[in-house]
Amino acid sequence: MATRHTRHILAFALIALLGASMPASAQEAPLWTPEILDLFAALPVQEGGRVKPLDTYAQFALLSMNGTRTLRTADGEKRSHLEWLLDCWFFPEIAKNHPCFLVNSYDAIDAMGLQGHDRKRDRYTYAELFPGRAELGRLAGQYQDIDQAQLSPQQRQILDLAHNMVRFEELIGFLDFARARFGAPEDSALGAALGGETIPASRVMETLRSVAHQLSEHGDQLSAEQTEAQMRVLQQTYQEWMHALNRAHGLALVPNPDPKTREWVTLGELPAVADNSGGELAAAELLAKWESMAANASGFLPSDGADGARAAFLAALNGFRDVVVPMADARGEYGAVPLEVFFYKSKLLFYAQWLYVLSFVLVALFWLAPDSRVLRVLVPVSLSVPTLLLIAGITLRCIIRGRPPVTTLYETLLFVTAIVVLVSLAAEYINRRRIAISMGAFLGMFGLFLAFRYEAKEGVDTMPSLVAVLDTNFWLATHVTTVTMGYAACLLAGALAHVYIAGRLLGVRRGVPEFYRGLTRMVYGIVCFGVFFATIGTVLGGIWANDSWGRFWGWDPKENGALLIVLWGLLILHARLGGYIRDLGIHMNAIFLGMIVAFSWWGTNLLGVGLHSYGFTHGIWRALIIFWGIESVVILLGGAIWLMDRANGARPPDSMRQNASSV
Amino acid sequence: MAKILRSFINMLASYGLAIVLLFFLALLTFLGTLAQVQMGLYEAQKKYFESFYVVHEFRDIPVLLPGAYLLMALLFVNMTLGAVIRAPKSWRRPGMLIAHGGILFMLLGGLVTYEFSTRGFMRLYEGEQSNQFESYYDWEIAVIAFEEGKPAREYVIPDGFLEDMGPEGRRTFHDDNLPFDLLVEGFLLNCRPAAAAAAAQGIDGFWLQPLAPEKEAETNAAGAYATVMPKNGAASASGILFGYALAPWTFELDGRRWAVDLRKQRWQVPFTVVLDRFIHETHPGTMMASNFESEVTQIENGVPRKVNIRMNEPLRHEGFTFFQASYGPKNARPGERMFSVFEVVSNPADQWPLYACIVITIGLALHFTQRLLAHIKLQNKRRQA
Repeated sequence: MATRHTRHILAFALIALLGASMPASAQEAPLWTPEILDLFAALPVQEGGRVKPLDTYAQFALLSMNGTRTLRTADGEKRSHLEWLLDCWFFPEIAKNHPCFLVNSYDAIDAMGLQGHDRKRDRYTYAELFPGRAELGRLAGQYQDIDQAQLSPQQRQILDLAHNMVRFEELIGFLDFARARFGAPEDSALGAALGGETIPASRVMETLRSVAHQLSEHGDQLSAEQTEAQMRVLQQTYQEWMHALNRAHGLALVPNPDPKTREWVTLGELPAVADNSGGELAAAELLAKWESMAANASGFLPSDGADGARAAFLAALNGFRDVVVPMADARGEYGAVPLEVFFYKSKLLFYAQWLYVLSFVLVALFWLAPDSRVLRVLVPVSLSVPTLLLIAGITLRCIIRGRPPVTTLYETLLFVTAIVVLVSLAAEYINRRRIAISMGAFLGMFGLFLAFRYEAKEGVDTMPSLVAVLDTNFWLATHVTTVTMGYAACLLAGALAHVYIAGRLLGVRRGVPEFYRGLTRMVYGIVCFGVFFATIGTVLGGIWANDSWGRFWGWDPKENGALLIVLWGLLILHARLGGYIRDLGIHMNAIFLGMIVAFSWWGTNLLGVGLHSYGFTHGIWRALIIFWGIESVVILLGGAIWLMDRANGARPPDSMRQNASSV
Repeated sequence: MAKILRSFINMLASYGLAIVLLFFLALLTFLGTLAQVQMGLYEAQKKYFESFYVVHEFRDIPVLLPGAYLLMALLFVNMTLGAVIRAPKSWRRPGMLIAHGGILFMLLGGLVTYEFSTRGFMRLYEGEQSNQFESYYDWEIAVIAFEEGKPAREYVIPDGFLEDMGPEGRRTFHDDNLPFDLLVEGFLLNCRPAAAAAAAQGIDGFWLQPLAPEKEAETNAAGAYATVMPKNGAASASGILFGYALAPWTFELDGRRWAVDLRKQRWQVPFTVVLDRFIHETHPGTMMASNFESEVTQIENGVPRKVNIRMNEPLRHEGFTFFQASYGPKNARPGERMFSVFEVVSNPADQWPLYACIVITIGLALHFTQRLLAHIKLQNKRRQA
């Protein structure tokens, strides 16, 4: 017995023991109750420079590894991001068998010396990847100093995977301290004080203090060597304790008791911060809550499922929440947290996307049955509903962040989509030929599809903290909003111009010149709208730059991109006025304008130079080049129409002449 | 003759010219943007946007293109003639006239900024003060006279002395108050002092090794050779001037000490700025800057005034604008003495873009709204017909 008790229990060894004592079926997944999930979802955390719900943290943690917010386990069962996070925290061994690492090709798997799955792009579990971890770490070490722009896709993949594995390890080790127990040899003063038992992390500090105090009080009864030996035991335990706590450093869960300090406190830092806060923060109590949760989590396993354990878990969670939420509230940092939980839970953007799909289907039906009265009403409604959802989503984001609608590249996607659809609806109101509304439905669907793709590709919080230069709501509201509206209108004009070229090429409605005339006027009108906002937005951007960098115009790539849109827009207007282009020319140029917008919107951020470095992103070149390639072909097809018209000797139509002497 | 003149003016005022100009301006903007990746902003800006013509190499084929300066000047003429003087003026359609007026005013602002603005920086450690700022790119030579018991006196060689000199050029600076003439030659925009390979090369075994211009032009290190030629016929002396030398080149003449300093061009401001404190805040738990702010005291005629300069909130005073541009040391420990860098700009057209923007917005909004309403009216009429 004595030897068992005197065995020094290392935190790590214990974790290993815990692992071994896990239920035999590692696939058995805990059943987190909705109540628990709701409580965790709204728990405030500080990460990436801002306070957000744990739900948001979990979403982007999973998204960055898994490529989607929902995990499909090996059994085919779906688990939400929050369930996955709780699995990682409370059941590391189960989480290790969740296939949450998306690997896009065999490159990284081969490099790690592992056997790949049958599917090239597939998800792997931590347990599967673990044998190659050392090799992955070695390769990542080699690549991490390479300049971002020079990295090959394979190297980038290896770095990403290594990064994700480390992140995952942080998650599964996050509550190691809560599972660890600390003891000391029975013949030591500390061991005697513990009576041969082990204690949890929350009690270590207090115990060490009291033993150290005793030792100093009875110092005269011990020789110097004896005192030193005793202190060594204390020190060793302290180090083990610190080691365990260090793993809980990843996420700040506790508001700082000092209102002047903006940094929140991680569970690992709690004891130290509590010491300095003069007793305002009950570190031991808060840590004990997590220990209680860790100890009682097994209550959620289907094979165990003890009601008592679940109740104890819930009590501890509520206890923790009841401490941190009022603290966060007192600092004025909790207000937007429930709203953000609601924003993601409501899935406004998700529903908007699918309603756009529905709207697109209805539009298609409308073309087949143009006389249907039901569809005449239903189609505009079907397009308006998702647009309202999208606008509601954008508005919620504005409220949550206290910012205007566009501050990041991701948000430009949402905003551009909303503007495109709104302008389409307005154009349809004027033109009423079902063209604008069809394009609106298509672009609404496509825009949100891109937004989701981009979000998944980046895998980072889409409501990030802003760099200092962007910290100005006035300019974000004026310059960014107007110039983005310019982007949106010019893109819509370019998209509608495809209809003209495709229609002419396929001979659609050949006998209905009014169809094409209306289309040209619409495209021209939207170009005017776009030029108006792009021009004003660009000049406003210069005025902002004059206030932040000291120059109105610096020929920075992003500025030049905006200028290009303005110049080409003006070129279209003047070429039309001067009679140099007619209907076909307007459409071909509008498509080219769309290509310029793509360059300005995304391309300039890929160049890797300039002051607008808060929008850098990689891996979009390919998509851009494909886009430009396709658009160039469409413009060439426009050229073919021009040649055909010439060959036929027909006078090319000039719809804009008919109702205006000047525009 | 009159006919030729008229057709020339017609051409200058034409839509055709406007389109050609807009096209080339767009092309240059595009090429100049891509060029920045290779040559950096400063060089690309000079080559494409501040020039009369550009030789752009499409792959390896050189093509002569008009420069943006020329294009904008022509656009100004074109717009003035076509859109203002010759445009049909009707009080029912004032929008286009107003908008073009605004754009002309903005282009004019660009010209004034380009020709008459001064731009540089002032770097201050906490507690330091200054009333001068220096150029990012341009160099000047100062001759400094030391006399015991008196403050040092500076003779700054006027603007343009070095500007177009180049490595082959040589120029002599003459001032009646100086007991010598100063010959400057072999000016290099970017170089480094190195041990000379041959005895005939350089001065005292050292020479200035030419280097390619830096992508970030403000880091160029200029250098030149200087020879002092005493007016009293005494033997001349030569020295190396190097922009980043720790101390200027010094010599003695008639028992007095002199120094010749190659340094970034400096300008005075009519007040003094003291940096009291620099504040650098990051978003909690990250390295991302959330705020740069300098607490300064601006002293004019002995009267102090406390001002905070931060991102997007510059100090504008007496025609000079101070912007929060940079700071350091970058990895300072808490409590370490910080420095703040202000971009200092004197620009007579500082606020012109703002006025132009208001005018353009009013003009375009008026015009397009009128056009849209007219179109809708026509559309409704057609639909009713």
